[in-house]
Amino acid sequence: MNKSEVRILVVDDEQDILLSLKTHLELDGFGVEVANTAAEALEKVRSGRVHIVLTDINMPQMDGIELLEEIKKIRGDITVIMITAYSSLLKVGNSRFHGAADYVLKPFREMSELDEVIEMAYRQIQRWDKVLSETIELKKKSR
Amino acid sequence: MTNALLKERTGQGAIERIVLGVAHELNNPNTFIRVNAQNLKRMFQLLQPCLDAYEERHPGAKFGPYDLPGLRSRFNQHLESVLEATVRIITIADKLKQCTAGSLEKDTAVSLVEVVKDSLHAHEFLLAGCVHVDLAFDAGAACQVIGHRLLLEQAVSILLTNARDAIVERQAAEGSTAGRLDISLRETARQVILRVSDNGTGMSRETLARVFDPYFTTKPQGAGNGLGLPLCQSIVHRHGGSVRLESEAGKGTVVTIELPKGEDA
Repeated sequence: MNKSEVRILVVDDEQDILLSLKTHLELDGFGVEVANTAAEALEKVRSGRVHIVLTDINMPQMDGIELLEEIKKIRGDITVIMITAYSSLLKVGNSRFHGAADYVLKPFREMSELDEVIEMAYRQIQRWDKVLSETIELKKKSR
Repeated sequence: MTNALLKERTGQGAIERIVLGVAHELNNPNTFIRVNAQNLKRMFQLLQPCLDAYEERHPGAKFGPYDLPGLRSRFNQHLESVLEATVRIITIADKLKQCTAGSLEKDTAVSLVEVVKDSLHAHEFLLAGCVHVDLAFDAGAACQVIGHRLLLEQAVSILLTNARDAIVERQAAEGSTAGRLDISLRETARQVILRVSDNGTGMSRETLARVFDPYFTTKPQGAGNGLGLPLCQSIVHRHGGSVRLESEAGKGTVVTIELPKGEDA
């Protein structure tokens, strides 16, 4: 699976952050979608193929942790990465127990941190994808 | 509203909460400024082959006052300076947060000379060009107090910002007055005394009487929140010291901070 086939969904209540991250990840070569609220994000997770969700923790109505829990109920294989400010470190810690794969701290003092976290998630997706295609190959041969 | 009244109405730690809020509000827009500047830089990189080809076909072509190589280098310079500024904002926000956390931290021996030097360094870009700064202290005197370094730095920074604003205001009103900021540090048997003197606009007696009232400001709308000197005073009081202001309209202001001298624990 190459990068352009990987769909990343970015979730943040701040439009400007959404647009900036969308462009950043598109320049990295990924396919990117955005959602302004957790509810909108869940709609997109249900209706289409999403591989990675990059979500802010602090959002009105439904926050990032609740969103994470809901996503995991729909599809366990979606990689969820939390974005947060330093002031919400405790929430990040908790998110691990709800199935978050990783986290990135705003305001991205080191831009490379975001890239590394996404790159790592991408490599894992590629590895699982390899298992899947090899399994399919084996099945074909055994027929 | 007096300091005591403010505390009564909002509870202890009101200023700390405001400062923490400011730090958070700074970081939020800073995040997308930073990511967008990075995006523009990468997009500009993508345009390079296009620009190379154009330059080859139209050597010496002008774009406003620049030729193409000049324009390209300016574009990069401006983007780099935006990125640098975002790092500076992150540092400022971090310092603000550390300040609010400060009240929980243990006090240590702090050299006020170092505190003043660090604050001056942090304000270099603000003071440059409009103010001549003179720092005087006894060589060999550590001017040591027991306290919280970042809080003390915050208190000194407030004085530097106020002095700078007063000088710039006078320069704007009278034309080119040479701005002067004289800072001196000395020790007595029991105290460390910091004196910050500027030749800015100065204040009337009425204004002077209200400088420690929270939210009182004479700065233009949006420029001051009226919390600088109250915060400075509360930091100095926390360290067992006192702040005194003398000022004359049209001449300048002298701020004197006296802190108990501290020995190594």
